[in-house]
Amino acid sequence: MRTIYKLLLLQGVLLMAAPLSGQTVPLDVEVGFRVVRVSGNSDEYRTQINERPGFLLRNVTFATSDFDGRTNLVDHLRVDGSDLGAGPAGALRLEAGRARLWSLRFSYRHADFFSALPDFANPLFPTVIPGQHTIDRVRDLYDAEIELLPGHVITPLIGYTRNTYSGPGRTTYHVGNDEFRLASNLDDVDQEVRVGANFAAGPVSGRIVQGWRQFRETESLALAPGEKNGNNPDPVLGLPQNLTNLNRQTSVKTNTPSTTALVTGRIGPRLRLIGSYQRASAEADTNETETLAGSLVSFEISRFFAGLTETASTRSKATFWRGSGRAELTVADGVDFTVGFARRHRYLDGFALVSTLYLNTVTFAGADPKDLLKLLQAQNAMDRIDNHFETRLSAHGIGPWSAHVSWAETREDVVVTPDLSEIVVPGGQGGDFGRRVAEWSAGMGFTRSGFTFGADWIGERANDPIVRTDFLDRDRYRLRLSWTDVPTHLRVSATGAQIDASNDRPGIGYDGRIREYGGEIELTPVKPLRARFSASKYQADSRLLYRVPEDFTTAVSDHRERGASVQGDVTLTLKWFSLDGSYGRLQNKGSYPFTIDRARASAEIPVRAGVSLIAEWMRDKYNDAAQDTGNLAKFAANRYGLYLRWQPRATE
Amino acid sequence: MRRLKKTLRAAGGVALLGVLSLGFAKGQTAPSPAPAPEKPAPEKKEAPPLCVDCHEDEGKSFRGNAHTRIPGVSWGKSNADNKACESCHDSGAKHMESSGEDNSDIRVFHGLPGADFCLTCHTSLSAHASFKAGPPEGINCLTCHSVHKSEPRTAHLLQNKPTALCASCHPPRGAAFHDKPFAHRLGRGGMECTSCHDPHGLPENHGLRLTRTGELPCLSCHTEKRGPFVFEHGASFVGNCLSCHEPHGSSNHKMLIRARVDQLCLECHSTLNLTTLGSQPPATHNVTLPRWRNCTTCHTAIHGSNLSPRLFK
Repeated sequence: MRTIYKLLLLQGVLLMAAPLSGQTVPLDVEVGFRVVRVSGNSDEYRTQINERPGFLLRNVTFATSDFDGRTNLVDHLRVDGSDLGAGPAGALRLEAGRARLWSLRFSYRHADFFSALPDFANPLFPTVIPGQHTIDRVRDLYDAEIELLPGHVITPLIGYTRNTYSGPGRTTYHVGNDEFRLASNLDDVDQEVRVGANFAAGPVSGRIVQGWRQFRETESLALAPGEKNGNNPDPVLGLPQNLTNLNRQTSVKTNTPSTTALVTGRIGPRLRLIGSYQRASAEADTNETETLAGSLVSFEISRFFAGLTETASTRSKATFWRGSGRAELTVADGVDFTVGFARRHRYLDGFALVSTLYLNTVTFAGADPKDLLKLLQAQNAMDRIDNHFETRLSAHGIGPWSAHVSWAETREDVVVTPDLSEIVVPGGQGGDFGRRVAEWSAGMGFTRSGFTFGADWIGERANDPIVRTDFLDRDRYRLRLSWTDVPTHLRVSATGAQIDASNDRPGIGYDGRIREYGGEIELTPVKPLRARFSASKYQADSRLLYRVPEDFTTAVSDHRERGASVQGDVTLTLKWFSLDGSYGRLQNKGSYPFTIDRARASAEIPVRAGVSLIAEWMRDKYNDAAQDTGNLAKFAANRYGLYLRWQPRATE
Repeated sequence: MRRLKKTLRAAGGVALLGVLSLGFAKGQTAPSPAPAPEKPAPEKKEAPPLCVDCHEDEGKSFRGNAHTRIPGVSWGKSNADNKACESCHDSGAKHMESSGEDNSDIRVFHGLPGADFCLTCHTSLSAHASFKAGPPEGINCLTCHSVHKSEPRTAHLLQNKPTALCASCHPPRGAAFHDKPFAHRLGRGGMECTSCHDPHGLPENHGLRLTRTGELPCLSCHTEKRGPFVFEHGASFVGNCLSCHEPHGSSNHKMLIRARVDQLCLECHSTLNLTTLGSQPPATHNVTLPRWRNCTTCHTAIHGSNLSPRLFK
């Protein structure tokens, strides 16, 4: 949706609400202009931050339930909007209704998706390898739901969701024995209509909703200008690889009806039973046509060829259902016992018929110039069943103490039946796999006189991995301490967490540890001044054995993070102006070293009752110069904004 | 040129917004009443005391509060009666008689019993129903919500902006979103922790808001990755998005969990042990060369393909 329409829609809503809201306008609007100055790699800046210059509705809040008896149709209205305009992401949300008559929830979200990374996948590599996949796309999400007669025995509801994603991009295509960059134009629309009802009759309440989701995708691809030579500069079997043109059109249509149901029943004051059921069945049809011409080699057909024409027609289906039951029993005041079971099943199968006509083919021996038709008929299936059982005992409010213990077990059964066409190197593509994970957890807490202490542990033990990165043992520990002194507005907190995961099976040797700990102090030495300072460390180590493809030796995949972060901010709020400043620095000395400095300062100066001016400066500096990538990813970005804030309520 | 046009349109929209808003504001200004001739004030019966007579700040903040919509309760400039207060705090007759000294008949909301009282209304269908399955010890409704002193720019009577609120107990997560170079834009443009997690706790999946068809919340937005695909990547069927991505903020490009893509892929795609799912790439894949380090240069349809068994398109 274009910015102007969004702003007009918003204004319309506010004007409609104006006569209803009486003389007090519970409104807060912040609107202005932002200027952006980037030095260094602007693509990296846009990939990471992407704040653009232009007009920006930074905030709008309007909330009232005070209609002064002027209408019986609405008794509450709330509009919240943020960062609409220059982007990269903004949202608008509306809630309105009348108690026991109707309620409406509407939300809109916009996001700009940009990615163009200079050294993607090749950090620390001596030669700079530009990232070849880029996107510059836009996503808009709309969601609306109306409930009629909320709070009555039956509350019908109607909902609609729309998610669009479109725009240009660059991708690569492996054909012959080279990769060529293609220019893509994507247009996706995902919509769902749903109807259903909530019901509440005595101790039984629930919800049942039937939805119909429809996904449509069209993508056009063509050889990008100047990219006819591909990635591979060397000839293959004496023939330089090149493309003179390529065109591909793909369309996907997916329909997914879905059903969800939830029922809750109370038996006496202490027992609650909850049952739920979900089911969805998706069917996707894809059609593709592709034509290309060039000078290429295919080892698959053992021939040189001068072009190809391909058509594909595929169908895939996925069914999913999940059922669960749960009982919550209040054993005594503050002591609860819960037990639950859930079963999930997902089945997926797909069929593809791909017809490829290679044009003007020549064998490697130089014979038989002719067209060659290759048909691919593939049939795949995957089946997964998960059974999950859990039980938990918790006690709270025993003086200052509280505690819980729980146990859960998940059993996964997976059957993968790949088509022969998928198998390149024998092994690992299909089969029956099972995994059982038992999870124990315990935690306790203490709260008194502003002091809070919490500790918990989760331990998981598995019998088998399904994929190599699955753990056999995993333990998670967390500790939290905080102290708040209300009279002096002093708050001190510290947290620490550690996760250890391992799988010592021969040939896997997985060993991972994540540690994160930090502290924060917030104080208000005098009333208008508030200061906060925090420091934290993040450490991650992961090691896992793998087989090197080119020589079949065993190597270790080693990933490390050594992040240290400091951050501080100060706010000074006086009657005639307020100042806000913050600075943060993150330095990571791990596998992908970099530093980031972020600074922000803003001043708000009232110019008349209810109206103030806000000047803001933001700076982000990213530097991964520790890598040998020629500083391609380095940038410094300054944003300057001037905004007008209007709060009529402040005139009260 | 296109951007200029867009900017001009936006500028026009903002200008219109400003003009209309000013008119709106002007229209809202109460006309000054003409001075009335002085008359002796009629004797009034003494009105019963109101809660807001003493709790003035709470009274002001209550305007627009969702609790004014409780059946039987009304709240406006002219009728700030005690019913709204009493619906949660009880009548408090002794409290009033003692000028606030006696709190014995006032219900206060400290600790979990306070949360239990909130749940007398906020239960049944919504996610609140699973409150007991979720938040850890020492947490109750008022840890995050404030009925009287909520942050005005947030919905749901939250005490602070949602991301800041979550970060107060989960600082490393909050810091990761703010500090790390590749992260979702939380708190800036509509996405919050609560976009993916249900803070009231759901019995399974770490409080994640699964889609109505049982998928991770990632697919609520990234619908094009949903499939179903004829050639599904096993990682997304046996695992999920988190098998390769770190949504809470990553040091690595595209929020991946490894800096080098070849290592990320080869951790699963290796036949050093023969009992797990994951095939071995052929020996032509020489990962010492840059061309082979980024597996997705060729296997572009890494989330699943309908056209290519090897995920080439």
